[in-house]
Amino acid sequence: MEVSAFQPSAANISAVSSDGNRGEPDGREHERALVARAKDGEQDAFGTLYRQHVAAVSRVVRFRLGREDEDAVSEVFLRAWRGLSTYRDTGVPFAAWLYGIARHVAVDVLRASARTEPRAELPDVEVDPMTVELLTLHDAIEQLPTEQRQVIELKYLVGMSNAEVAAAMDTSTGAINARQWRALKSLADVLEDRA
Amino acid sequence: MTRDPAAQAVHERLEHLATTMSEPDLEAGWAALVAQLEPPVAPVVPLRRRPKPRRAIVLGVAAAMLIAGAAFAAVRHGGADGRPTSVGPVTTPPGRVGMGPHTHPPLARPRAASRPTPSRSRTTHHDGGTSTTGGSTSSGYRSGGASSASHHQGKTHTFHHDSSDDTDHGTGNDGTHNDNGQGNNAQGQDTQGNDNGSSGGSGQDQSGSGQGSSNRGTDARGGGDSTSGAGHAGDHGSHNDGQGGGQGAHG
Repeated sequence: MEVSAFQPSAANISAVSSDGNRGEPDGREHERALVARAKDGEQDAFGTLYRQHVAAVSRVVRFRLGREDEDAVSEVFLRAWRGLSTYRDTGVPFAAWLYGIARHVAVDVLRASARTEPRAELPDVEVDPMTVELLTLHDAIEQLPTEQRQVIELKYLVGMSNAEVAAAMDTSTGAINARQWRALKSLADVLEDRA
Repeated sequence: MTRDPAAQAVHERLEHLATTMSEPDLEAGWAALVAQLEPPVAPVVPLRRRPKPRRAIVLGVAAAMLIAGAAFAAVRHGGADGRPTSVGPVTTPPGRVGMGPHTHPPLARPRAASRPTPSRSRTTHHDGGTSTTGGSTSSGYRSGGASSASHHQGKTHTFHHDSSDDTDHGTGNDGTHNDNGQGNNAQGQDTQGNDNGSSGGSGQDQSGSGQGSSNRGTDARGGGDSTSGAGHAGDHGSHNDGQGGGQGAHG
């Protein structure tokens, strides 16, 4: 099985050509128009963008924090709204820009929680298997190199295609395929060792 | 690429994780978010400040005044050093002095009086001494003090040197005698034969010497100017010029 054939089952943000080339996706023009309108202050256009990307942002935030955090998701879109004037369309998908904001928000939330001292003992709460699986994969992905980790998060959490990831990371699709392959191999080794 | 069962398993686990994550409530989330949205901040466009034209005018005027002041100071400074300047008094060379009375510069020029160095000019070295003897007031106004013995008649530039023990001030007297600004020798005879005259300040020049204070070697009239105090010395061949313009009423 070729690594390039991996396609995440998460909802795609935009329609991408099936051949995986770096061609112009069909939904990119629509997204550009929405971003332009949102930069002009149209909240409806920004609402459309929100509905398109909130699921991916929510997954990234939950994967990074290990729990759901609606405030963090809202903070991501608030920062995006305030920083829309600085956004420049350089061919990188808008989701990649949101992904960068989500990473910073997650880091800020983790730092803020690290400064909080628990005043009482944590209650014994039963952890669902999904959370265990998420934390297991999270710990394994944390050991990957930065570039491989970003490829895994962009493909499986954000739901970008190899071409979009290649555009976001300013490299070729073949390089993304290679990084994805190496990342999966490394994750398998880490998970096998822990098992 | 080679199919790897372990990588395939990890791939399936990641896909399963992404699909099983709960989807957020879109409308509720948007409703909560839109209440916090503010109008986007407009990009800041710096205003262009055009330079004020009045500032350029002020700077130009200030620069012109500075240059003019520097030039004026240079001219005045040069005049004090003996170079002919436009601000100094107009003098007549001794060769032409015989044609008429001298024109002397005004009295009491502090800058010139404070310069101890000998001067080539007849008109720039001034001693401001003022004395009154016998009812006459004589203000020494000399240039160069005592002149050298080797005076050349008609020469306009001669070096004049006061003797080191000459303590007269502004009298136009030379030599070693001290008459303290009277322009008169107590004995009526200058040891150098230059400044002789009556103690009464008659303004008369005796033995071809300047009376009062300002004597010119080429003036044959030898009469002191009673009004301006500019004495005129008769020139008798060995007379030394370089005496400043004496001023005062000679008795």
